[in-house]
Amino acid sequence: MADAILAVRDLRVRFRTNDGMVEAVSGIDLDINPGEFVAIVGESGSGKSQSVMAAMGLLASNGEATGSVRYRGTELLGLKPAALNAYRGRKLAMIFQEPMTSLDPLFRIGTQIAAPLRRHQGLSRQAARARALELLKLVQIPRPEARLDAYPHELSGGQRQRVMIAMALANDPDILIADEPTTALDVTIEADILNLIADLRQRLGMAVILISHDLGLVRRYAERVYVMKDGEVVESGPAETLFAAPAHPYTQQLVAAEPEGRKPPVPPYAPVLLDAKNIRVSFDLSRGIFRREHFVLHAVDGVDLTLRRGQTIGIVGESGSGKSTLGRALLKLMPSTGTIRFEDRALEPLDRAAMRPLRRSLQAVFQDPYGSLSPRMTVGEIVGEGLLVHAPQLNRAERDRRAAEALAEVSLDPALRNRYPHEFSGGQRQRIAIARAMILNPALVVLDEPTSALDRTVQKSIVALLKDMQTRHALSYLFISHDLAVVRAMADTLMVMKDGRVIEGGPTEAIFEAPREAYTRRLLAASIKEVREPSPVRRGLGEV
Amino acid sequence: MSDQALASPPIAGRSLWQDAATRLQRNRAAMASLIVLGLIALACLIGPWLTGHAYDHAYQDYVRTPASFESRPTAEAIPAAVQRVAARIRATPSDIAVNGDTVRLTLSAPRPIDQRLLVYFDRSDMFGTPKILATAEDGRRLSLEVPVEHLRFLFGTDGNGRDLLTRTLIAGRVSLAIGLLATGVALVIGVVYGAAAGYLGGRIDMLMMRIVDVLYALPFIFFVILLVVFFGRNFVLMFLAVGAIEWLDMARIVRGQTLSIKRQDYVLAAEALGVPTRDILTRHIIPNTLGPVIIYVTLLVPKVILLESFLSFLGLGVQEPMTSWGVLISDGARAIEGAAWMLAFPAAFLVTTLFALNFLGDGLRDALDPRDR
Amino acid sequence: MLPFILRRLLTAIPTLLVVVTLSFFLMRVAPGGPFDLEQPLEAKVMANLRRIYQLDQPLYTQYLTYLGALLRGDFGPSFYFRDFTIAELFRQGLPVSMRLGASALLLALAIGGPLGVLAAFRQNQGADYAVMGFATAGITIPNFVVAPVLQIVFGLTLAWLPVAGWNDGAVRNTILPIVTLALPQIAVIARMTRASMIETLRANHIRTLRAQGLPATTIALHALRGAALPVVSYLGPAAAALLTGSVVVENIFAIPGIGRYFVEGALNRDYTLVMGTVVVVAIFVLAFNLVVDLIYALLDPRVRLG
Repeated sequence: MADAILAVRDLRVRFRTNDGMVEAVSGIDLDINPGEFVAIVGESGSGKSQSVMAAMGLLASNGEATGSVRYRGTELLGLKPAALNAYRGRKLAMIFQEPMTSLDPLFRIGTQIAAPLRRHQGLSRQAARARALELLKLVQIPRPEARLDAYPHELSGGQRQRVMIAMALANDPDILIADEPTTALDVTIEADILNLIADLRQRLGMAVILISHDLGLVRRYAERVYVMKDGEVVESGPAETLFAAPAHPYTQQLVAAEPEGRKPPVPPYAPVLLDAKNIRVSFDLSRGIFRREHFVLHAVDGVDLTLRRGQTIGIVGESGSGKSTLGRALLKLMPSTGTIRFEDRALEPLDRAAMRPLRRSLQAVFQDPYGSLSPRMTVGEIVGEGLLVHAPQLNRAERDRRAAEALAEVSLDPALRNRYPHEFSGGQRQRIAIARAMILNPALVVLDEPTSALDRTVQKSIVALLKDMQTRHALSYLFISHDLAVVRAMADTLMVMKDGRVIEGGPTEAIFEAPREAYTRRLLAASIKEVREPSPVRRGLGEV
Repeated sequence: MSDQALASPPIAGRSLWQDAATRLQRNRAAMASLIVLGLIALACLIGPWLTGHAYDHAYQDYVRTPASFESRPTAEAIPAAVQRVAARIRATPSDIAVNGDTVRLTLSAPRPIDQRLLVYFDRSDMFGTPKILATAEDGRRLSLEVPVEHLRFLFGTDGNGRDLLTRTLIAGRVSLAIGLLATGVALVIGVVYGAAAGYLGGRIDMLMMRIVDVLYALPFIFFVILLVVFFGRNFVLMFLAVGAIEWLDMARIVRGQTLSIKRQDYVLAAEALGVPTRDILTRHIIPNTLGPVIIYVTLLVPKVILLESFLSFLGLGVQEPMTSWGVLISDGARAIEGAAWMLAFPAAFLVTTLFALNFLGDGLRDALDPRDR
Repeated sequence: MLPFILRRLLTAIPTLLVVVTLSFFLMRVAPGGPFDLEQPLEAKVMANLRRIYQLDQPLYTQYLTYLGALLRGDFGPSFYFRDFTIAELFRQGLPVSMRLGASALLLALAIGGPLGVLAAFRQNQGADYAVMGFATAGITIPNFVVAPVLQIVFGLTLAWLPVAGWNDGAVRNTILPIVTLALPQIAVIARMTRASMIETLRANHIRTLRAQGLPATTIALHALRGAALPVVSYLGPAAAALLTGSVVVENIFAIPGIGRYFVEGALNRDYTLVMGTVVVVAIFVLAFNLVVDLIYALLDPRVRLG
């Protein structure tokens, strides 16, 4: 493509590590045309971020790039920082995955937006401030005048990402690179930010490179797509054709990675396993020695919940809605008020020791597969730890055998049981966490965002595993998630939480078909992206 | 699943400790430091038996002898030494001939020489028992053959004529022992206190940390001096006490670690399994606080050694004839004008040890917390 | 800000009280007394002395009397320096120690900070290794080794500066003690600055600046402000320690500061002198912690004074 404003040829990125050179990007070609919305899709470790970092001269100090990256014919690779600065921030602008940390916490928003203006356009302090205000208005930040003098910590994540966009747009760049711009944000904010980017692209006529792992998102916004895997571009083409008829097996796998299946509801006569009434969890956030600034946060504010045998209740909501806190309170991992009955036993009067025998039936799997496994224990020890508590009569060899069985059940090679958690991938670790819960034959498992930190294809296999375990062992699940696509595949009953309260509940399919609350509708709109059907939003943008 | 799969021998994993050890082995400065520390420790441990001198033996004839490879007395020094001994015998030496390991000489005096006084040769550090070869002039002339006793003072001697090499090595024993002992005490108190405060949390934590804050506000040296006053100058007791003071930082570090580990999901998962508090502490929390603790320990050992030498410098430390690097350096600093070696050698040992410990600490930090590399 | 300062001053009172009480009783439990000379005094003389200094009264009365006097700003008479009150001793010694300490602190900041920044920007290069080697030396070589070496080199061999003595604070006399005091601080500050600078340079917000094509000087300024935070927290206790004098440096260079009073006071059971020194040092520590918190709040908008 002769008129490409950015042409990448045979780009390779390598990192010097203690284990020798590691190649992150192995010879890719990319072409970006003026005004085009291009997406680079891939799962973690595919090299998608590192390829644009290399183009921007932002590689970590142990990284090196070879090949060619030309902006309107000028080679960018190998330019000295001073020379590169004629393009960075001026012609090519970039926003990042971590809006919470991408702004300097010690400087005011206005000063930070003004910096590139004063540098590249030579504006005076006054003029730069006026322009910064315009930019804040452009990115639709509420009360822009006040925000100029605010510090980053006074803004929410979504607002900070808007500030990042304002800074990126300061010098009317030709290309805006957005590296996973919404991954760290709540789903309802995700749509706002991407709509803003799409809208600004139209108005300002710049090209956008969106880097994402989220096919639904890409399908909605991008005109052309590059699919990356293991440092290589495996497929590329117009979004329409690529999604309609993916040619490469990996793309096919990605497109089909939406979790499938629906969970049939349990019969109404199924016995009640867990019955909770009026659950409240409060945090005393009062400050000062004499608690003069009295302030109590009700993280969970009067929630009722009835879980039957074999049932899966999906609890959805955004961060801060209290859904994880509720899950922990129900397991008595956190002090709460209200009544909890489990199999006709009241849990609330039980102390730690009295709870212990019951813990065998009440298990949990947590979100972060990196943080939920003790880093200095072997996988076999981790999986077998519950047996130490609940089946102390077993000897070491017997425990080891049972741990191996549990690993095999979650499709992990039992021979790996003497390895340590850091030697496994994210998906494997989540399987280990599941094995640890399942080895005790629990009746109820609280699944707290068990798939959120995983790539889509891995998510799909974990969902399948969890559903398989449920049917095999007649388990009940409490499935906590912000991701409605996954919840739909897992749960037969849905509870939507906001600010510590349940605002809507009922059979999953009924809520999906006819959401009552506006908040639920927003959640649905944001997270259900039909990958295989044309998206009305993108078609609308494509008419430009 | 097949029983075969379960029976297959498990593949060994690499723990984080093993990874850290590998990284440490790649760090040349840290490995060199480890070797240097090993050599110094070995030298201090067995060296004093090999030097041929007792650490508290004062050679009156060798006060402030400079460091040298040469054996003493030197051939040039012998006549003067013979003169000195002869003066005590009240005789005049002549025909002094140094012949290898013996000296032949003739003593003459106006009155017969009291042969019992020849014992002064023996008492001198330089000569052995003299053999009378011939007596003449009614005992007013004696021909003697005196064996020369050769001694070597590689590091020279101190103001009392004690061998500095032996004393430096003995001092090293004391300094290293004190460093390890006090650090051990600080480690135990700090880890237990910090882990308890961090894990129990809430008001107990607040109270425990408030106590630490108050102790921080007290001048440290005041405590040490009081302890010296209390315990006298018994160095074991004293450094148990120093360790009991140095635990404050350790407690803070462990508490901070415990607080952050307590919030990790694996602790929550263990609680969900019903693992008792004691086992959560020993299996999940303490092993994961060890990294920063080990790093701090390698930095605390030199700190304590330095503190000991500081106290010795002030005259509050180890008492004569026992010695430590601090005592030797303090003596050396006072004698620096005429006898620079008295400062140079102990200071070199101390500084080398401290350097090595610091490099080792840095290496351990890089090895245990590899995110920086 | 003012309410914060007032509140902090209020919470400092109980801390000081604990410090005073603890050291008062610890000091008194220690064996020996201020009038135990090598030749024992006559019983009558001893009793007289004890009465004059009120040592014959019950301990708690002495404690309350001392507290009362302290509240009026009266540190009492020295037991050892018989003709002086503690206040007089401090009035003479404190300015000396503070002058040396403040100069050393400024010198350490002026040299250590830039060295640390240089090392951070030249990470794993020659300059970095040189700075870090120097810093390790500065931390490991004790000041009672440094001081005599400086005396030999600059005082005797080169004869540029006086070997020791105060000489009413002539600048020539202060140089060696200031350098001795500053060297370890230079080392610590350089190491801390380097470490926190490297940490900051890796932060996401610095990457943002690079992506905006801002020049290296702007990036350095941003990084420096972020990197200054841990160094500022270190400077509080360090300043308190430096300004209240160093027993080693004051001994070696024969300087009439207050650093020696701890050791002399404790060894001679000069109760009031020890107590006075403890109080002064504790006040310095508390004051500098407050100053550090204020500077910190000024530098970091996320910190709320409260």
